[in-house]
Amino acid sequence: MAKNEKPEKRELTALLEKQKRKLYLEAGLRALCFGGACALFALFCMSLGFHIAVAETPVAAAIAEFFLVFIAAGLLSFLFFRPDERKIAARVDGVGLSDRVGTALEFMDDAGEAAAAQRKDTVRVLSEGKARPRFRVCVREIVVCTVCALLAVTMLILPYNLFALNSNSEADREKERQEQIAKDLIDKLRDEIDKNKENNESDLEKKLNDVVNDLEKKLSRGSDAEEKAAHMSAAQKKIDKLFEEREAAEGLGEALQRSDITRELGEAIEKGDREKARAAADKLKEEIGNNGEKKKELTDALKEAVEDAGKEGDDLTDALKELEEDLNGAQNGEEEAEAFEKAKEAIDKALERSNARKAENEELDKLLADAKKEMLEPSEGDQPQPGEQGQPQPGEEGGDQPQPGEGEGEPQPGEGEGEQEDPNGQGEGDKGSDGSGRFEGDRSEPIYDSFSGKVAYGEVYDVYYAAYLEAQMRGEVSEELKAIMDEYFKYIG
Amino acid sequence: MAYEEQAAFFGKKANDALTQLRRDIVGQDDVLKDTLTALICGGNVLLEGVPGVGKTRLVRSLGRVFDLPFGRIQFTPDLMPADVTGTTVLEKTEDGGTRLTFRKGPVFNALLLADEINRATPKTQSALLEAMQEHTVTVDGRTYRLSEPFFVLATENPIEQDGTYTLPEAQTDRFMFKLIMTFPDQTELMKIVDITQENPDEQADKVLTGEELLEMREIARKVPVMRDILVYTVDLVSATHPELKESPDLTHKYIRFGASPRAAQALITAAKARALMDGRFNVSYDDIDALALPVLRHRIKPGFAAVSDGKTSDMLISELVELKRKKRK
Repeated sequence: MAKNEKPEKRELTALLEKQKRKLYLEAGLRALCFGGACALFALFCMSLGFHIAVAETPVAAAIAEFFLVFIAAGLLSFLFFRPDERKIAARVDGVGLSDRVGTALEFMDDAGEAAAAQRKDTVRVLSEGKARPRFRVCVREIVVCTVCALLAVTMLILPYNLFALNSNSEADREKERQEQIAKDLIDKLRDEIDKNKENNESDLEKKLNDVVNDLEKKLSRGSDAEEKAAHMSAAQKKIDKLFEEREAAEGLGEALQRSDITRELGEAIEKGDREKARAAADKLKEEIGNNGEKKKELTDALKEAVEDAGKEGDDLTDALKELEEDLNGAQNGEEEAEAFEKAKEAIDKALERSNARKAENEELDKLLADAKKEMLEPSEGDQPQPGEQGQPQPGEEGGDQPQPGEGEGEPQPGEGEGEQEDPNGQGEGDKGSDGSGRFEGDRSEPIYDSFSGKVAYGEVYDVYYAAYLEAQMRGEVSEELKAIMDEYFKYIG
Repeated sequence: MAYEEQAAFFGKKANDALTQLRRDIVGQDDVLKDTLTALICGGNVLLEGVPGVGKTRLVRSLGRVFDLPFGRIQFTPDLMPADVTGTTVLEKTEDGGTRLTFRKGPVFNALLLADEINRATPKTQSALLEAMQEHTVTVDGRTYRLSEPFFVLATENPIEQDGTYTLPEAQTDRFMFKLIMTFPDQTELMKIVDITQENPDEQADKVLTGEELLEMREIARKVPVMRDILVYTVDLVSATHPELKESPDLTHKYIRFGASPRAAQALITAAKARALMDGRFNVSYDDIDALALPVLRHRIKPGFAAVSDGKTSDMLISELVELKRKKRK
């Protein structure tokens, strides 16, 4: 017998195991259905919550999620596990109510006298109140719930990042580094703009500040160094464009060089050489000296240059215009000389301001380029990833090669073509645009759909566009593709 | 008479019968109740127990409770089938001639006690087959119909195996129940001694007639049974069959032959009567579970593994019922 006991026990265990597996499978399947339904319903509630209100803090979000899941799970568990008539009968089965009710329900339509008597008997037993269910406290569920609640509360009250293996991790340090670079950059840019207040008209200063503010926001939202660098490139480009729009010297200089009489002055203005400009003005005064033909040639050249340059309201343009008018109105050599002296001073002053703006532009560009380079530089301890070594990062070659928007390289799409790309770009400053005429409206309000993962074009435009420009610079964009891409960015801009 | 009244009549009569039986039999309440249940349903009962536990007394007492003709056959190895069924004898007529006359055997009584049935030869045992199943007796090519109701209450002794003949499966299957009469406990034994000292004969009074018994059978037949319980019953009976793939491992290992369809019929029929006796108008799972042992224990054949592992039919059936009960819940 002793020999037989062991296999018998094994057999019994195997038999029980088989039953257990079946029950576990059944329970597991049921739990999966229940869990899935809960999760989906909670997801629905949460998505609904996002439409109604956005939780401001993680704690508020966690509390909101708790209540949503609580309600969802509660409702669904009731739907899944609520007792039906037979279960109720089984629960109060002190008098065999389960079988009584089961039989009564099955023979509900049976007109036979036995079935009728059975139904009556069931009703009698129920109405006599013999069947009193005892309330069973669901201890196990309460314990599980309490443990979960304790865990949840503990996680909520614990300081963030407590369980990180190294709270001062590389990622944290890198984030801090990027934030510091961004902060320094913004401060420097603001200081530079403030420093050059006198040289700039108020609307240029305002637009420059808008660009800096916009950049500050984007840098604070940027997820990685590449994205932040791309935002910097885009800001650089916008600033360049703003200055370019303000700058009349180059255009006027070019226009003046078309006439022989004003070529020297044009060259000086184009180069921003104040001494040469003065000398050229003196030379003109001497050449004209009581020569009516020369005077006319000069006034015509000046008029044509001003018209060609098309920079209304600019100091230099005003000075040349005034010179033309004064010369036309001068009755004698003395008045002509006086006009030249006046013009000389005005041109000198205008060139001085122009030069200061150029310097400011360059300084701003430099600040942005430096920050970009610093941003993309690997932080201490970062090891180059396999395959990354030697590969130029966007903006890394900034010291040697022009970056998008840096102004010194080849003209980029959109660069210097603002009028063509966006004829409305001018004069839209009052809409709060960055001056490029591209990014108004939809980009001012970030839209991020956390469920679809979609972001508004405005949010990524700069990054994409900068990446495109850099690819173009690296010669990775064919002429055919360039046309398509330019059209695309023009369209979505 | 409304069904409630019929049920009340059923309950009263059953209760009266039990009360009378309890006057003669001390303890063995389940056996009394099951025997009565079987008789109400028209089933035959095989009583098994060691000598002296009151098997024969129970049957005699039943004969007193039911107002029915009672016959007894003491089965012995030399008992002939004709001793059971009756025989044709040559009789002298008044005019001095002779004639063949059929003299009815004890089987023609409504209530037949087949005492120590396993002592008779299979040939004699099988003489009861037709009577038990079809309630007819065929002698010399003539078939005689037995009066209704007709019951066979057989007893057998499990310990004296020498000179006995195990009942064939075909015959055991015709017994609705096989009831085991256990040895009484001390209190019961004291009471038995007391009763028999005062009055050694049975005291039970007649409380039921044959017609009333038939009426009770008809009342019980109407009790509704829900489908789930039918399915459960069939499932339980099927689970005793090792040839069925879906049977539990226990069956495959220990049972050689499973119960016949008569077992399922008997379970439902008896459950209906049991429900009414308990004052219910419906059959419950508990009725089926409670009746599983008396209905199935003589209908399954444990295999060699069961014998070697010391597993009796009762143990196997109890385990099967437990399995099914767990599955049900």
